[in-house]
Amino acid sequence: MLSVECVRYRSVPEWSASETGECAASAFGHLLGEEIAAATASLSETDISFNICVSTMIDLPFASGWLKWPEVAAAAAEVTDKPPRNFTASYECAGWGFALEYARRRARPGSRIVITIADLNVLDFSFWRRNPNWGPSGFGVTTLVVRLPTDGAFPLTTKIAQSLHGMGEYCVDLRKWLACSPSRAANVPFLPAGMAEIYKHFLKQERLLPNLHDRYGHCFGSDTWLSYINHAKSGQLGPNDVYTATSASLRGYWAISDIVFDAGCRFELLERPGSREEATS
Amino acid sequence: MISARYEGVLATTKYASRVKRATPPNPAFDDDRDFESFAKIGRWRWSTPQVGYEEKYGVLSDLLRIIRTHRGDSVDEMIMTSRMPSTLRMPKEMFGDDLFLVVDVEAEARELIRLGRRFIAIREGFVRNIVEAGQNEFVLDWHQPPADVEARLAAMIIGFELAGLRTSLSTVRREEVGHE
Repeated sequence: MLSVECVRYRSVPEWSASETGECAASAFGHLLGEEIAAATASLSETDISFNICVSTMIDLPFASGWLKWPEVAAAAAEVTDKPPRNFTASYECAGWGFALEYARRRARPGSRIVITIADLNVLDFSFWRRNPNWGPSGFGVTTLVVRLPTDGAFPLTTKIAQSLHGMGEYCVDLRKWLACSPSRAANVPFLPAGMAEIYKHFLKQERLLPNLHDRYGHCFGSDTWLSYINHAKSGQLGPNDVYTATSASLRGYWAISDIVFDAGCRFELLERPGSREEATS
Repeated sequence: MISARYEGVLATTKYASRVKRATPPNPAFDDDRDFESFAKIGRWRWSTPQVGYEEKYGVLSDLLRIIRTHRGDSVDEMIMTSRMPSTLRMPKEMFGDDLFLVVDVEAEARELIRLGRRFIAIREGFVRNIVEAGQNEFVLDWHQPPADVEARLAAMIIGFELAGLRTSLSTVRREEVGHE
């Protein structure tokens, strides 16, 4: 099973470094580099066999050529010796799960995987500020450090919906997963109260972590990890207990994995840029 | 060490003669800031879009089916350009335990070469609107292909051209590995 060693979320509600693509690439890269450096301070470069940045929102800036990934990666490398090697927005909120699926095919057993989940409104599009599909958004960067088991095997499924009812299919798949899983609880994507009714319809509430949409908005792939940071801060997270990490996307892609949190796992929440409010469990 | 490369341009598609609705910009324009932001990423010159969102996925599905049909079993991995946003779900051909989409295909290819993987790297620049970068190019690099790669690539090219690609390059390189 995957062991989580660090979960760190930095809220970035405002983004101003967008006068030019080069300026945005530099600021984005520096931010990624700083977050990774903080999350991996005790690790060497050789400890990490897979290091990627995923996103839901940062798509058109790359497709238009306004942002160029080599410039972002180079800026990150100015701050850390462990910069992310690549980027994908194809799998939307489930990006971290699809990245783990890819890593499973090539990463070294026993090594660490670093995934940054970056959702920043770099061009301040109104579509991303608030949307009828998910309500208000929350912007920020999650940095996740996980350790692969020594045999390299871990439970994970990544799927695409077969119908127009992607969220329903996701809930049914999660219900089946939980029926066979030893996990204490699963997180769910943060959705407005009305939309979140679907969870009550399909899933047992006692095995779900709270829907924190009222507090954070929808934070895309970071919802998963904000759930566990909050669970740890509340003192309810037991070391070595199994939990089910999930994400589902608007287009009907989802990922489900059982994970454990190391006894010394760092849970860090920086509510506002520059703030130092951190909680460690 | 063997490697193969194919380069082509999307010149037409099976959708070319069909009348269809124009694709709205994605994300949609709503307030003043959106117009300012689109102005930042706008360009003075652009390639002629041959596809909208749905047609692009149709073409890519066809091309991936052709590649999977003719590549054989000796491929560990395929990587392909991640170009979002999307207005609809990606087709099933763009998923699977043999394919991953990344923004920087060249960087990923360097890493897979370092790891000694046998893989196909696909870089595509099929533009869907005049904001997107690209020249409608389709570039396939096959690292450590099987010995009969020429025949497999030739079979792929027949399919590629039926799908609308105009071939500009097809080559196989065989390099002797030095012994110390």
